[in-house]
Amino acid sequence: MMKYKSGDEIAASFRNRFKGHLIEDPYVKTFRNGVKKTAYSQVFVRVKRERFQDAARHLKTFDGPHHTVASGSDLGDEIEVLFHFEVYSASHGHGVVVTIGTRCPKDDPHIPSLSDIYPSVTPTEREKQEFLGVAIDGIKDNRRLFLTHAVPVGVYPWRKDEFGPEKLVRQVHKDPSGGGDGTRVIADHSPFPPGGPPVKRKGGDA
Amino acid sequence: MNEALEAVIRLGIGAGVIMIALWLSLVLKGFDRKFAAWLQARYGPPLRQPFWDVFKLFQKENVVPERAVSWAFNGAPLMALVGSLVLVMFIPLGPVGGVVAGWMPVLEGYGDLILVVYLLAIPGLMMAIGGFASGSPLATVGAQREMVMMMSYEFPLAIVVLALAWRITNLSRGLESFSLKAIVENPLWGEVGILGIVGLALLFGVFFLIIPSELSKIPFDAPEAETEIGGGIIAEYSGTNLGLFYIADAVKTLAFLSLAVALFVPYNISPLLNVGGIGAYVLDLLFWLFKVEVLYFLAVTVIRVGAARLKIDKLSWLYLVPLSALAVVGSLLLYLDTL
Amino acid sequence: MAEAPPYPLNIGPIHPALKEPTQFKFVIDGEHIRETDFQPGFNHRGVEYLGMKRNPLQVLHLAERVCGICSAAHQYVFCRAVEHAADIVPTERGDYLRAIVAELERIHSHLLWAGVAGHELGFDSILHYTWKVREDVQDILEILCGNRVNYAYYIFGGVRRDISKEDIAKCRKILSNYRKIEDTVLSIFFSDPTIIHRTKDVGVLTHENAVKLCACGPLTRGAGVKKDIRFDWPHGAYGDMMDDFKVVTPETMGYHATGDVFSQIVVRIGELFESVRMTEWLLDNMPSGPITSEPNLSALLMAKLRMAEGEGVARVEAPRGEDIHYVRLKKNKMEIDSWKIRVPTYGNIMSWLTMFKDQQIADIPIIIASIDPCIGCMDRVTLVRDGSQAEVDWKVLHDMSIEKSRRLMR
Repeated sequence: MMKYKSGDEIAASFRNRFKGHLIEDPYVKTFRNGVKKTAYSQVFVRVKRERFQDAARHLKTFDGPHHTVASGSDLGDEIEVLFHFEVYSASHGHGVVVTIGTRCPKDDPHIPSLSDIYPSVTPTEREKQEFLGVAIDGIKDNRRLFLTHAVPVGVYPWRKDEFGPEKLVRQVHKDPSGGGDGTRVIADHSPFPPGGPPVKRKGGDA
Repeated sequence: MNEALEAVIRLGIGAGVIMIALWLSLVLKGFDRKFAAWLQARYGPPLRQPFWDVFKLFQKENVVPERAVSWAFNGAPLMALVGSLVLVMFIPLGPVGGVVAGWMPVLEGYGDLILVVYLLAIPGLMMAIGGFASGSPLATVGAQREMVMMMSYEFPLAIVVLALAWRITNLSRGLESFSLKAIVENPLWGEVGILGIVGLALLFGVFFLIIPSELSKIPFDAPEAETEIGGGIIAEYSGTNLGLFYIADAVKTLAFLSLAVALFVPYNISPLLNVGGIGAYVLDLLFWLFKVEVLYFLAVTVIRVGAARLKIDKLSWLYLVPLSALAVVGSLLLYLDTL
Repeated sequence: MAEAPPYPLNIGPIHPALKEPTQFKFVIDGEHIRETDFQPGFNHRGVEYLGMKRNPLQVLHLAERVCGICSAAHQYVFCRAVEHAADIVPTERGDYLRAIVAELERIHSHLLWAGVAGHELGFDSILHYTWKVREDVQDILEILCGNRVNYAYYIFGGVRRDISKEDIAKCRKILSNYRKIEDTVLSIFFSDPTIIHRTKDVGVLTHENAVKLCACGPLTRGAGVKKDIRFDWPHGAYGDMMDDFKVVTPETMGYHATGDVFSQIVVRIGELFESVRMTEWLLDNMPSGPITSEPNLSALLMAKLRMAEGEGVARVEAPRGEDIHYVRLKKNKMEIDSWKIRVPTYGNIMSWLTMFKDQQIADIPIIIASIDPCIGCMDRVTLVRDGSQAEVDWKVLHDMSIEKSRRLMR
């Protein structure tokens, strides 16, 4: 019978291991639902970019990390990418959702890839590249995933700055290709211009 | 003078037979769809739906793909229909023998079973040519599958036909070996012993299973496989061309089922009920229609409602190995019966 | 004889094997698949972008429209993600009613899948049969929610409609019909020779790949991995059912978990009837009390959601697999600050591609169908429509539809 660690123990393990490299203290949210009030919890860990891959590797010390997806947001000066995992999946009642995140400044939008550690992250990393304009270093497949040729390289829908899509909004009745044959070409190239993702410098324009 | 007159008469009868065959085949298709719907607990389309389909298709635009070889692409449906209609000329469409002796195919005497077997291949061959000419990878896959299918089911079909022809000559009544007329007028079931009956039953079983594949119906519709290759051979066809294929398929179905009836159950009901004169004609015609419909229902409708599509490798194996073996066993039994 | 060179074959964006637009690019050698590439993105609606411009109550209805089939799952998981972010606790009765609708949705989704799988195999009778019996569960959903699709049932803190005693009796009656047809359905799917021929050893996802590539839903259970969010992460009413129900895998149904399409059929059909039993259990054990913790919507919106600060992850087992939403709320901001949806199909892309290896062209449709793909769910993320760029604006859409009608009338 294996020993399942609770959310608090997992958070403490990250706290001890990555002391000094954490963006914020790992915290746990525990919920109790239903009549029996069975508890289930989720852990949020945010580590600095340098130790991000180590944190992902550290997660493997717990049994069966199951990668689900990466989410991302534009925090203003920084871009945050969160990878959501579950440890003790397939354990009938002991699963804990662990979110490991990191941030990068907008003047250096690069984040290390986890694809060597978790092979299943490639689609979601491709999505982060094209939607957030953040380069995933070491990604296995550099093409766009969802966006078509109609979205210019250099526009990233989830950005809330000048790289966002606002300037393209309200042109739905216009077809930029001037008519066209109605076919939609999915762009199979990198979402970045040559030389990497566009950089937003602090206090200035791009 | 006599020959010319005869030719004109045959031409007139032929035109009539073509009209009847076109109408009847679409009606049978309507029944097929209605019965299939009932088996699947649906209401189904009205019986005249196939006619509407054809009318609609003939009104639609006839699109020829840019990369298609247009003469082959346009010619194939027409030739498929011509092939099916010529086939109808050689197969008795209606009761034969008994009171109504003489109700024989229009071109009786001008071609035998071997010709019929060749003609049977023409619609399928034309569909394959049309598929290859479409210039679409899906149609090419379909056409390749059609070729494989034809090569597979032609083998047991040939064995069945050969066995029947041989047994007819063996009756030593001076009958022509591959004459359809001889086979129809001398039903073998009454001529052979127990072993022969078992052999004939085996041959009939094999022929029965060739029907759905010859007609490209589920589970043997790999060349068209809508969900796999989007219609395959007919993926690129539309409008009139598609309508021609549709009719060709319907006519071929009628012809092939009539052939099965003629080869294996050429009996009439009027002698049994002791009816004569015009009543016998009507009764036998209805009985013939009934036989065709029953065979249609069992060999096409029920099978296509009750099975999933087979893969082409399994399908080819099925015809080349077990069914061919069965056909050989059936022929052997027929032979042993004569000893 | 000269060997024909391998040739490319594109399935999609529009193809009978696909119920929604997406594209597979195969390299075919004869009838065998050598290489596979997958290209989504033909169905973009920009749901997440739209969501980040709206308040949670508006997004609730947007979330439901991510998918037409698993709409309850998306609403359920979005509600829970917001609850986790804003520390709202759902009521006990609300939890049970939520689980009931989620299980009913699983029944209808699996029946729908079974029909589609039959159709992909060329077995249309199965399609007509399963879709006919599926009408019954739609009736229950209509009794419960007032709608047959897009139920609008969930709200933060509970559900929006209670169930009466008479309705419970009606539901039980309809559910008992499903118990009656159980044997028929099992015999159709597990013993028909043509189905077995088309699904055994086809599209195999090995146990190793299922774990490594983090497959989810019936796909991973077919490979023998007992991942099921309902039991792994016991949320809502599922925490109470842990002892009475177990994860359905081919082993529990008496088959080997080989990871092929047949195993997935076994899992889905098994789950279907397990869900019937679960719904009955939930109806039996339903606690009384209020259905939602905050019935006043404006108080909910202004006092709780607007004032909330925090983030939350929620996962539910949608019929097709794991559905996860991430929501971040900012204090004094009406709109959602950040929203990420991940649907089962998205999580299964990598596993999916391995399943095509060395299969035949004939296997493509059933392998595509086997993971029960929901392209509409997966492609929900951008604001791009039809080759031009824009926020989907009601007025513009309206103008476009007028323009199109005029064009068609000409």
